[in-house]
Amino acid sequence: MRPRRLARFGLACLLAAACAGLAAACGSSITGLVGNLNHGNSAGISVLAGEPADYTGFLENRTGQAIVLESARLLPLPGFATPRLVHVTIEAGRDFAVAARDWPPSGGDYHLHPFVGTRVPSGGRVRILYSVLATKLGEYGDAGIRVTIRASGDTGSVTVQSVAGTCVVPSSDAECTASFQQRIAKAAG
Amino acid sequence: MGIPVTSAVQAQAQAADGLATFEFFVWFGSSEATSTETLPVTSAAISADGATGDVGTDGSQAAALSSFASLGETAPASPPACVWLASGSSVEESNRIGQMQDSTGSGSQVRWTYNTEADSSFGVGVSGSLTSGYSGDGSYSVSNSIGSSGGFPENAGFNEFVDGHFYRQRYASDLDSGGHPICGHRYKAEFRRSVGDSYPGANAPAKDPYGRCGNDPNGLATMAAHGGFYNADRGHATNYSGAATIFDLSVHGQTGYTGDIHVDYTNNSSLSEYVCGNAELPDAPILWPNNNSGV
Repeated sequence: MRPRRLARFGLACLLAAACAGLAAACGSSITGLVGNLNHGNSAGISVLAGEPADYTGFLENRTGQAIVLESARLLPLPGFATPRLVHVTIEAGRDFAVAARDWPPSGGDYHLHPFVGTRVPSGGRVRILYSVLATKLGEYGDAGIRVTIRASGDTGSVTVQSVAGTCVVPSSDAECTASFQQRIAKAAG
Repeated sequence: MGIPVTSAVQAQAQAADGLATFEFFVWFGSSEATSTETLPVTSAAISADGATGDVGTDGSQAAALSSFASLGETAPASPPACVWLASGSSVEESNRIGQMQDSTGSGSQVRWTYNTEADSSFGVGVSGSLTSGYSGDGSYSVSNSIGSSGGFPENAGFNEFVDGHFYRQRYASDLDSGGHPICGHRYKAEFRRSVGDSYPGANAPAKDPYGRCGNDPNGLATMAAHGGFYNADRGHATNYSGAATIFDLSVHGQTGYTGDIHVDYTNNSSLSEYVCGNAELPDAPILWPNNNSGV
């Protein structure tokens, strides 16, 4: 029995790995979602414990059809602790937040709109503002968000790159270290 | 096909009422043919009697060539390779590789980071003379691949071009050592390798033409006060028309297209700072920052 159980377990692992690596093939045939417009860039900010840090990612729709945004989840950044995703919204104004505090962020004219249900026409680009939270002192990082979309009854997903570094500091006059900033920049490539 | 007006061509035209004689070689498979044409070296239109061409909007001329005569058995199997031989030692020169600006708000900082494998591309010059008369002839990509990586920090109000050192090498055609006549007496100069350094350049680039980010039609990005930072990838290359010189020729330069150059903004001031540019972010090749007081 043992060899047979091991064989089943191995087959399950193989299928899981295949679907994880080939998400588009397993779940969707939608092509043309561009989430790497922010490639190479990074941003960050110092916050107090429990204070949101806000960053922006960019998504362009080159699918040839309108898409609707459905959900988002935070992507970890290797080598850094991962904060928690607490807000996602759309910046529809001229401004967008590279690195901001609080929710909603202040200091800009962002014209925030709800994320879920946002329709992106063919050829359109949206700026997605997401907010993360960490409750303990330390240095955190994320690689952006994984966005699920719907188009003509089909569902797909795309990685919206946004390498962001959040350092949780003990007081409001403390800032992220230069070495942290450099590590974040290096992680962005 | 373009024919560079080298100093040798100019000399011939001056001695022959503005005319220069060219010999054109054409290969059809393994057969070679030639045609000799005398063409005016002038920006004025060629007369209708000559019926050889017109001046284009860029001053170039189109010329119709007479029929080619086959050289038969003497034809080579393929066009000759014009071999360039290094002429003299390489020379280190300062070339423009980018630009960097910062807000003038107190507490603002900016840093230029230049990593290994950041590529540059500079124009190539050719001439019939050793040290003058160079004209542009394509470009050459230079890799900062010698393991150097660096940059420099600057404070509020910085607004300068960024330069780096590159080695320029001159080459001579091999006619004197038995090369094919088509290669002629020609010289070529190009930048072959990068030192990998970077430093503030001599001149200041133009400031934000919109005055402040709030007026920029391309929008703006906001960095929060007291520690917001933005490491902007300069992978969106900027082309500089006067990035380097090859003797008397000013050549273009382009740097950053591999994305290994960053401009890092850190806002340690007490005001929000903005970054905007000459195109919609994050794609803008040139960035201009200011704070919410417009400085």
